[in-house]
Amino acid sequence: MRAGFVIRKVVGALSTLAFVVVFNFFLFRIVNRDPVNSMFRGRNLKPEKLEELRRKFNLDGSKWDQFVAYVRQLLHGDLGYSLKGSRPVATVIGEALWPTVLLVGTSTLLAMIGITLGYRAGWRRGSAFDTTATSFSMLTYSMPEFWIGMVFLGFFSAKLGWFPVGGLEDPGSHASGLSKWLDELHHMMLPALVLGIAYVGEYMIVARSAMIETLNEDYLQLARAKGMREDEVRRRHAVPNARLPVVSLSAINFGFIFGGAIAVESIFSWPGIGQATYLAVRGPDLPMLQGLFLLISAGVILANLVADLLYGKLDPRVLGR
Amino acid sequence: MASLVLLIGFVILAIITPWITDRADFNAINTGDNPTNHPPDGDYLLGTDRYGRSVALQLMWGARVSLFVGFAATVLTIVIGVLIGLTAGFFGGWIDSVLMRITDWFLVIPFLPTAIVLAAVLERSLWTIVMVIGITSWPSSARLIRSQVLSVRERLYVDRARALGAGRLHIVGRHILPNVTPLILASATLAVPISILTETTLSFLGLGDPTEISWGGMLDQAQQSSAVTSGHWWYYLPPGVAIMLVVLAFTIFGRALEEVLDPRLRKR
Amino acid sequence: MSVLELRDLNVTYRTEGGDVPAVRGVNLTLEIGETVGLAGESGCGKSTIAAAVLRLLPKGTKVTGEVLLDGEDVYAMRPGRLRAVRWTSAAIVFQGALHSLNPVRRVGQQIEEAIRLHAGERAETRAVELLERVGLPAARAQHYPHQLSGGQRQRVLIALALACEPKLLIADEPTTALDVMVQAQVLALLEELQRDRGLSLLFITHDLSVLTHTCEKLAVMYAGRIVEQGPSKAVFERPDHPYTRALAASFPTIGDPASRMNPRGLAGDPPDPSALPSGCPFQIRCDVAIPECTTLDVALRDAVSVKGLADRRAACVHVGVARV
Repeated sequence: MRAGFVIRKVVGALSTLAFVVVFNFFLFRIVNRDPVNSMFRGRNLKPEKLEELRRKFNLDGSKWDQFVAYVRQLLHGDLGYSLKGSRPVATVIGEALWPTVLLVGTSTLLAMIGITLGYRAGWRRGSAFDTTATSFSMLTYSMPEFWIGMVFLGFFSAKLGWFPVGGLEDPGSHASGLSKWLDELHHMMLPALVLGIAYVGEYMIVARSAMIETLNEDYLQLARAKGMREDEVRRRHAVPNARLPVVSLSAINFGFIFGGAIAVESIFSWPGIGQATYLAVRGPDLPMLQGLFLLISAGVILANLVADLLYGKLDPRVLGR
Repeated sequence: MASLVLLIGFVILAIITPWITDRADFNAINTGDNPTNHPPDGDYLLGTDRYGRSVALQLMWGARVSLFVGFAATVLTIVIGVLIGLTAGFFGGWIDSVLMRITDWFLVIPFLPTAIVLAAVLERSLWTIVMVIGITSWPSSARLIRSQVLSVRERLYVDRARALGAGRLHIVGRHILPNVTPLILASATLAVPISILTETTLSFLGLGDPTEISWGGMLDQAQQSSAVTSGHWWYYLPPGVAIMLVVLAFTIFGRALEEVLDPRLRKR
Repeated sequence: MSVLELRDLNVTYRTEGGDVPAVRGVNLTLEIGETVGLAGESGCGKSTIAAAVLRLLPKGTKVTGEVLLDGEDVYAMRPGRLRAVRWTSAAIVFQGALHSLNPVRRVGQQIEEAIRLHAGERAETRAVELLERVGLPAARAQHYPHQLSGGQRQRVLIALALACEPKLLIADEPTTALDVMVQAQVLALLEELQRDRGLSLLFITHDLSVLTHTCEKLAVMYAGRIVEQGPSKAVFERPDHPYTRALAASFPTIGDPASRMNPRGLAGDPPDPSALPSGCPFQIRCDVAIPECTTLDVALRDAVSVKGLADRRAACVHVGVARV
C-alpha cells in the first residue's frame, strides 16, 4: 500500500482526535462555566471546600493552563476521578469494557447476516424477497432500539419468563466455569438479539443499494458471456464491487462497540460502557462522561481509519495508479 | 399516500390538543384522586401512569413536542448545512478546504454520544434539544449541498451570469439556490424522522425538558417506574408505536419525494 | 456449415413505456474464416445482435427467429449447454474496455477465470501467453484495469476473447473510444489474429471506413433492419442505399486528412424504434425519397443496377427489381 495514502489517513485521524480533545475541553470547561457547581448542584458547600474541589479537578488557573494540564493528564492515561466513589475514571471504564465488547460485538456479528440478505435483495431487486427484506429494515429503523428492548423484556422476560430481566449474571451467583459462562450467555441473549434486530436493517439497506449500484455494470455481462453461472457472477464479480460501503459501515459499527449501546444496556442493566454512560448522564457525573466521550470518539476514529485503509486494500482504484 | 394522510393526522392532532384537552389535568392537585397504574378501560382509554395521569392525554401532548422538535431541529440542521455547503461550494479554495475539514471532523465523531454530552452540559430545555440535534447533524446536508453547488456551478450559464457582471449574491440567489432547493427539500423530509428519534433517545436518557411531556420522556417515566417488569404494557407500548408510525410515515414520504425531486434516482 | 447464421431474427425489448423492437427480421450468415462488418448508427440494433448471439439480452426480452451457432439453435439450448457454448463457440470483444473489465480484479485473473470455466489447463501460463500475443508484456497480468491505458485495456479484452479459442469472434465497437493511432494498431492486431487463427469475425461499428479495411462483406443496419448488404469495397465505394451513401460520406478515412477536415454528416436523428413511421423508416432523412416511400416499405432485394457486381442487396425503392 502506498505510504503517502497511509500517512494522509493517519494524519487525518490524528487531527480528528485532536479536535475531539479540544471539543471535549471546550464543552466541559467553557460552555459549562463552573463544573464543580453543576456537579454538586443543590448541595451547600463552603467556599473553602469549593476551592479545594476546584484544585482537585484542576479547575483553578487560566483556561490555557487548565488545557495544558488536561492534555498532560490525558497523555499519562489519566482521565480524572469519577464522582461516584471517587474512583479513577479509567478504572471504571476498564471494568465496563469487557461486558460491552461481548454484547455489542456479538450483536454486530449477528447483524452482519444483513449483509448477505441485502446482497440477495439487491441482486433480485423487486422480488418478493427484496420487498420483504426492505419493509423489515424500514420497520426496525423506525423503532427506537431501546423501545424494542422494552417490548422484548416485557414479553419474553416479564411475561413468559424465558430470560432473566437484566444484569450480567444471576445476583448472588457464585457459579464458575461452564455454568457461569452459560449463565452469562442466558443473560446476554435477549439484549444481543434486540441490538441485532436494531442493526440488521442498516446493513441490509447499505448492502442492497451497493449491490444495485453494480447491477448494470458491463463486467457482469462479460462474466455471463464467459459462461459463468448467475450465482458465480454475483459472488465473484458483483459482491467484490459492492463491498466498499459495507466494509466502511462494519468498521464504523465495530468502533461503536466501545460506545456500547447506551439506552439498550440501561434497559437490561448490562454493566457495560453504555450503562456507565447512562448513569453518568443521570448523575450527572461530568468527569466520567468526559472520559467516556473521549474513549467512544477515539474508538470510532480508529475504526474509521481502519475502514479507510481497508478501502485502499479492497479497491485498487482508491490508491491511484 | 397513506403516509401523508397519517402525517397530516398527527400534525392536526398536535395542533388541536390544547383546545380539546386541559394541561392542568396533569397537575398533582387534579390527579390525586385518579387510580394509579390503571389498565386501559372505558374511563382511561390507555390507562394511567404511576401518578394517575392519563396515558392517552400524555400521548397527545407528547406528539406536540416530538413534532415540534422534529421540525425545528430539521430547519436548524438544514440552515447550518445550506450555509456551510453553499459557502464552501461557491467560494472554493481555502475556505472550502477549512469548512470541509471541520465537516469531516463532525462526520467522524459519533453522533449520539456527542449529542448526549452536549445536552448534558447545557440547560435542560426543548431549545437545547433542538440546538444539539442541529449541531450534530448538519455535516451530511452540508456535504450534499456542496456537491450540488459544485455541479451547478460547473454548468455554463453560471459562468455566463458571472461574465455579465452579476454579483456573487445574485448568482447564489438566482442560479444556485433554485437548483439545489429540491434536494434540500428531500433531505429535510428525511432529516425529520432522524430528529424525532434523537429527541426520543435524549429524553429517554433524562436529557429532555423536564417541564414538557414527550414520547421519549414517557418511555423514561415508564422505565423509572419499572413498568416493563411490572407488566404495565399500556405505559410503554403506545409512545413507541406512535414514534414508529410517525418515523415510518416520514421516511416513506421522504423517499417518495426524493424520487420525484431527484432525477438521478428516478431512473433506478 | 456456417459458423453463425441468423434466421429472421427479431428482438423486442420490454420496457415500462411499452415494447421496443430493436431488431426486425435480420438474416445473416458467417462462413468459416469469413469477416463480416455490421454498420449503423447507435440505436440501430447492431449491439443487440451481438448480445443476442450469446443470449445475453435482459430477462423478458422477446426473441423470435433462430440464432444458429455451428448449426445449433442458441435459443433451444438448455442452460448448461448454453454456458458451455458461451466463449468456446463464440466470444465477444466488448465495447468500452474500462467498464467491461472488473475494476477490483487483476487483468490476468480475469483471463484465467475464462480458461478455468471451460476446464482449461495451465490457465496462468496461457493467460500470460495470450497477453503477449496481443502485444502486452507478461507483467501486465498483475495490473488492475485502471492502471492500463485505453489501448492496453482493449488489447486485454481481445486476449480475453481468445482465451477459449473460439471459432467466432464478435467485435462490438472495439475501437470506438480510442484515439486514431491506437485505433489503427488495434485494428491491425484484430486483422492479424483473424488471419493467423482462421477466425470468423463479426465486426460491429458505426464507422463504415473501418469496416472496408477489415471485412470482406458488409451489412448496413437502419432501424433494426439490414438495409444494404454486399462485398465491402463495392458497398463503400458505390452504395446503393441512400442511407449507406450518407454514412459513407460522414466518416473520414483513416490516413486521409482531407476527408477528416471535411466530414459530411447526416442530418436528423434515427427514428424512435418504439414509434417507427409507416413506409420506409429512412424516408424522413432521405434526400431521394419519393411519395411511394411513405407507404411502401421495401424489403431487402437484389440490386442489379451495377453490372458485374454479384451479391449486392439493398432495401430501397430505387434499387433494382427482384430477380426472377
